[in-house]
Amino acid sequence: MREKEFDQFFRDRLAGHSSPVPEDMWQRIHGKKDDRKAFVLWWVLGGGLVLASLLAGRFWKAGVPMEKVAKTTEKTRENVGSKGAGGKAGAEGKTGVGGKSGVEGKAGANGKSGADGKVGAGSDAARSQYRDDAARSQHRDDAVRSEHRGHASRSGHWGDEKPGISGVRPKAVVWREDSSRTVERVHKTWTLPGRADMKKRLPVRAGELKVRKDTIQKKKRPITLDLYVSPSNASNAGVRVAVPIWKNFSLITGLQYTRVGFPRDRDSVIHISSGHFNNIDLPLLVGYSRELGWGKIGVNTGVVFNLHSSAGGDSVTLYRYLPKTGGTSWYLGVDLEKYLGRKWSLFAEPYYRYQASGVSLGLRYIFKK
Amino acid sequence: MLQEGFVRIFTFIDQYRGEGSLEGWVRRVIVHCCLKTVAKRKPSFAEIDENVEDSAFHAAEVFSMLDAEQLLQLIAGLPDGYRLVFNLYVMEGYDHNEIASMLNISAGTSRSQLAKARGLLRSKIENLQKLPNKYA
Repeated sequence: MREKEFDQFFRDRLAGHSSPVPEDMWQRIHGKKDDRKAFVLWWVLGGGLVLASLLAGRFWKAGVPMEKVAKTTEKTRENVGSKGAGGKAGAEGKTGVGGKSGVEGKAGANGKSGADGKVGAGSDAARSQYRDDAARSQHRDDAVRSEHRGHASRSGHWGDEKPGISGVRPKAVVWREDSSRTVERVHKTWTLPGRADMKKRLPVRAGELKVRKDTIQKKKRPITLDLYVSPSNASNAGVRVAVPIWKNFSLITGLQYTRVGFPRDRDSVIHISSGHFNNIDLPLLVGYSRELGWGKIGVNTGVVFNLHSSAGGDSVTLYRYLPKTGGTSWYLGVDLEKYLGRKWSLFAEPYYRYQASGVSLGLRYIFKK
Repeated sequence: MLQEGFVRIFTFIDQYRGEGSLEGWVRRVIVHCCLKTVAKRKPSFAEIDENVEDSAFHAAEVFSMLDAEQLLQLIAGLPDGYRLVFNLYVMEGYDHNEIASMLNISAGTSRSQLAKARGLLRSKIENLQKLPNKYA
């Protein structure tokens, strides 16, 4: 049997033949559609979980914030008439509370209950130093007392007193009616970021006091606005904004116009004229970036949602026969940024998007205070 | 595939200019739609190392007794590439150049695939003849 006869036999037997439709045909078609929906739904849920975990991490404070310098104070009470500065209150002895309990007095620097007593500053040089200091402070205190006589107390003020023997400097002197005074001492500590167990005392040397800022400013990353175009097989242009959410991570969203052209069919029998889809897409991405000095490098990933799609061109074609850039698609891009100045930068972002990969080129505005 | 084919028919109905029969035009649309679906699966056109003898057909008697369903089963049992080219050439009447452009292969590959398909079908039919009284 020749080939032509062989072929003709098949044509004769099968021409006009129609196989019966299986009874479960509709169920097969319906089941296939549900699989597609479920597939997209799982991807959307997965993306939502990733975003939710990132946002939760942003607002979860695991350690002690580093905004403030912790201050602890302790008050000691000094009875000007009967006691000296006390062991710890060496400063009072130095400042010479004056009167009977001055430095020279029993309760003063030379007294047993004075700071000198405890620390054994019994040398002549030390005593003379304290006398001088006390004399100076005595003048100041007298002036203060005369000014505020009759008041129960006054607000504290930074004195120019030299630090006491204990190395702790009084912050404020509060006068009371009974001529006793309360001295507030300040122990300054600060907490290292994120580590509540790490506390460090401010070293205060004799004659020095290092003043620290009350608040350590947080280093905030700025919000940026991108304008970009992408001359790819699915050319697009758009605007997007990146909002810092946690450390080097940002949430990126915006709007973009995508033009998807479908190729002329190569089938010589059926000719499909050129056309395109006009899409409006919403990207929802998470970005991570690192500073390079001259710019930044980062990775952006997430999902691009199609909000609207309309056909254009010579003939209208159904959506499903084109490259699947509609619906929801994953996005992964590498962001390379070059600073132009303080507020402007250029960026290039080669990206992968399902059946619509390309390179975005754009201008970035940095919102800086 | 049938649903998508008919959707395309109604979408492109304005492109039918009345040249030739409507049935033939619809058939071509359906074939094109099926080929697009098959192309997504990326069929293999590798030649299978089967000991197919390209010799005279010795099972004409059995061959003539096979009905349409049995022939369809034989064709369905062919590898993807063989089956595609055989259907397009024998059943649909495309030539090798047209098949090559549709399937993105060379004309030589199309001819080779067709020859292999014919040989494999012959061998299957001859094997049927060897089975006792199956089609008697």
